[in-house]
Amino acid sequence: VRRLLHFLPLLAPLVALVLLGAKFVATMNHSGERLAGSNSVKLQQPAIQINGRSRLCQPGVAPRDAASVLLFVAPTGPKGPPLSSTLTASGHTIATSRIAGGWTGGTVRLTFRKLPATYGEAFLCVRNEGRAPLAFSGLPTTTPTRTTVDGQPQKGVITVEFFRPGTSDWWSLLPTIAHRAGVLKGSLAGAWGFWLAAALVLVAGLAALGIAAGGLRR
Amino acid sequence: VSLARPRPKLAAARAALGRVPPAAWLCALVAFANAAAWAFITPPLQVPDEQAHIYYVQQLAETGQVPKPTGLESISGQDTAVRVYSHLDDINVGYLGRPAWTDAEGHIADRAVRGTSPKGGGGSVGVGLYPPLYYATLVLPYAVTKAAGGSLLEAIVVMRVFSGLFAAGTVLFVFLFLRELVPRAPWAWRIGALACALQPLFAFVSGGVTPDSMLAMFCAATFYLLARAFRRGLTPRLGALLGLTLGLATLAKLAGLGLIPGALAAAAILVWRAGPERRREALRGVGAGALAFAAPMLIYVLLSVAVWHRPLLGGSSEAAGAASGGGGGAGASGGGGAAPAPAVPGKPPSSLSGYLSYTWQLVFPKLWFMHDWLPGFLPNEVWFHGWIGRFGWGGIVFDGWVYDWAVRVLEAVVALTAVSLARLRRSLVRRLGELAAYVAILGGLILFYGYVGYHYFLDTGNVFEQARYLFPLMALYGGLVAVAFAGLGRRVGVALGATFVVFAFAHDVAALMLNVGRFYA
Repeated sequence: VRRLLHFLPLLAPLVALVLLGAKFVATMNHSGERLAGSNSVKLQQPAIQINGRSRLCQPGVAPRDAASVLLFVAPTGPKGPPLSSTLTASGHTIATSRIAGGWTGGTVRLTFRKLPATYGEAFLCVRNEGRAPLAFSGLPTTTPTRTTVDGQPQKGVITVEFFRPGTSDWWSLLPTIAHRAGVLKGSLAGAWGFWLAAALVLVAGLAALGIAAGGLRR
Repeated sequence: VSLARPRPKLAAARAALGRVPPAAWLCALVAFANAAAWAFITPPLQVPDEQAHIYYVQQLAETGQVPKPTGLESISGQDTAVRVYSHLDDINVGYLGRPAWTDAEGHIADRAVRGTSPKGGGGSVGVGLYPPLYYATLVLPYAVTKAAGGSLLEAIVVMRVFSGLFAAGTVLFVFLFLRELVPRAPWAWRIGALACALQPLFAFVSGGVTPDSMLAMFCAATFYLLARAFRRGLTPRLGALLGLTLGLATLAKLAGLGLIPGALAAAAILVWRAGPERRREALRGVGAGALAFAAPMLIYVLLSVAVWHRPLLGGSSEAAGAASGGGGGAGASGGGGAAPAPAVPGKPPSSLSGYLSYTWQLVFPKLWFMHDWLPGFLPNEVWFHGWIGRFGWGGIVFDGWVYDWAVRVLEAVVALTAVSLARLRRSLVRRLGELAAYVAILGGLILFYGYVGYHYFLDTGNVFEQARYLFPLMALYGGLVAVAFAGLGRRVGVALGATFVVFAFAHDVAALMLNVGRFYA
C-alpha cells in the first residue's frame, strides 16, 4: 500500500494521457473526403474561358485512387451547361465522366471509376456541351502554357483537384500519407521515413513521461 | 601524488561529461528524436528560408566560398529543382498546393536534381552576410551523402537529422542551467528541459536546415555558464568559456550579438558581487571572456577579409537573420510567427523615439502617445501565437480555440510560478542579481530585435519578428516551466509537472498532425 501511495501522484499525468489519447483516437476516427492529388495551381481568379462546344485540355498527373475531379468553374449564365470529360494517358482513355446541365455554384465534380494506377503524363479534357461560355479558375500566365482550348495554347493554367472515392478515416489513410511523405527523398524514398518519424515521436513522448515521473525518485 | 598532477585535458572533459546526470542525456535524446521526426515529416524547403540555407551549404561545400552581398542572386540548379518539385511557392501562396506525392514525380525530381549543378550564383540570396559556423558543420553530412552517391534530396534529410543534434545540445544545456537555477528541485530540471524538448516550433525548426538551432544551443550554453558563474563565482576559466560560447553563438547567427549587452551587464553584476577578495579573479574572468570571444571572431574577420572578400556587416535585417531575396524569398512571411502587415501609410522617418516606441510594442501594449507600428498586439499575434504553432512559412496554424486554451495553460503556469516564487522567496531575494542578469539578457535581445525590426519595418512595411527568434531564450522558457513546479514540493511538483509534460507531448503530436494534414492529405 505504501508503494502504491508513493506512485499516487502519477495518477494525474496518467489520467491526462488517457484523456488526450481518447481525443487522438476520436480525431483519427474522423471520416471525411480525402484528396488523391492536386496540381497545386494557385486558385487566383478566372483564368481561362471557353465557349459552347469548346474543349479545354490540360496535362498533369492523374493519381492512383482518384475517383473524381474537382474543377473551379463558373457558368456565365444562371445555370451551368452539360459537361463531359475524358482522362487520357499514352493515347488511351483511362476515365470518362459527364454531368447534366443545370448546375450552379463555382465548382463542378466529375466522377469516374477509381484509377488503378498513377499516370504521370495524363491529359484532362473537359468539353462544354452547352452554348453559354464557361470560366475556369486558376492562374493566368504571361506566356502560353500546355493548357489548350480547341488545340490553341492558353495563357493560363486551371486548378485541378482529384479526390478519393467516398470518405475515409485517418487510420485508413495512414499508409497513403506515409507513401506521400516519402516521395521527395531520392534513394531514401519510401514510407519507412514516416513510420520511423511516428515511432520516434511515440518513443520520445513515452520516454518524456517516464523521465518526468522519474523525478519521484530521490 | 597522482591527485596533485594536472589531469590531461581529455580526461578532464570526460570527467565533466561524466558528471552530467543521465536524465539530462535522456532529455537531450528526447529532443533529438523529436527534431528528427520533424525532419522526416516536413517536406523539403518548408522550413523558413531553408532553400537559402541549403544554398549556403552547397556554396561552401562545392566552392569553398560563402555567399556574398553582391553577385548573382540565384540558388543552385539542384536547389531550384527541389524548390519546383516540393511546390514551395505553390504551397506558400495557395491552400491547394501540395508537394510532389507520386513516385512518378519523385523520380522526375530525382533526375532533375541529379542533372543540374550544385553551385549557385554566389550572391546573397538573403544570406550574404551570414556567418559560416552552422553551414560549415553541415558541410560534413552534405559531403558524406554526396560521397555515398546521394543527391541533394538525400542530403537534405541527412543535414536535417544532423541539425537535430543542436536541438539535443540545447536541451542538454537547458537541463544543466535548470540544475543551477533550482538546485533543490531536481524533478523540475526534467520538467523544464522536457518542455523545451517537446516544444513543436523548436522541433520543427531544429528539424530543418537553418542556423536557429545552433544559435539556440550556444545561447542555452551561455545561460548555463552564467548560472554557474552566479553560483560559484566568475573564474578566468568560466569567463573564457562564456566568451567563447558567445563568440560561437554570434558565428552561428548574428542574432547572437543581441545577447552581448545583457552578458556585459551580467559580468558587471558578477564583478560587483564578487567582493573585494575575489574581485580580481572576477575581473580576470571578464578579461578571459573578452579574449575568448575575440579569438573566433578574429578568425572569422580574417577569413572574411582575406579569403572570402566580403564585408562583415550590412543591413540591420541581414545582421539578425531575415533571409530573403532573389533565390530566397518564397512569397510568404517566415514561419513561426511573422504576421503579414501592410505597409504603413504616412509612417514617420527613422528616429530614436520611433525606435523606442516600436521596441516597446514588441513586448507591451501601445501607450496612448505612441505611433501604432504593429498590427494587433504583437506579443500575442507573433510571439505567443507563433510559439504555440505557426508552421511552414507561416501559413499553417491551429484552429483559434487551440490558442485560447494555450492562454489558459500559460495562465496556469504563471500562477504556479507565482506560488513557487512566493514559497522560494528567500532564495529569490538572495539571487536578485542573477535574476537581473537574465532580465538584462532578455532586454538586450529585445532591444536588438527592436533595432533590426524597426528599420526593416521602415524599409519594407513588413513585420520582421518571428517566434523562432525567441530560441536564444529557450533556457528561460525551461526556467519558467521549471520554477512553476519547483516550489510545489516533490510529490505535487512531479504530479503536475508530469501532467504538463503529457500536455506538451499532445501539443507536439497535434502540431505534427496539423502539418501532415496540410502537406499529405
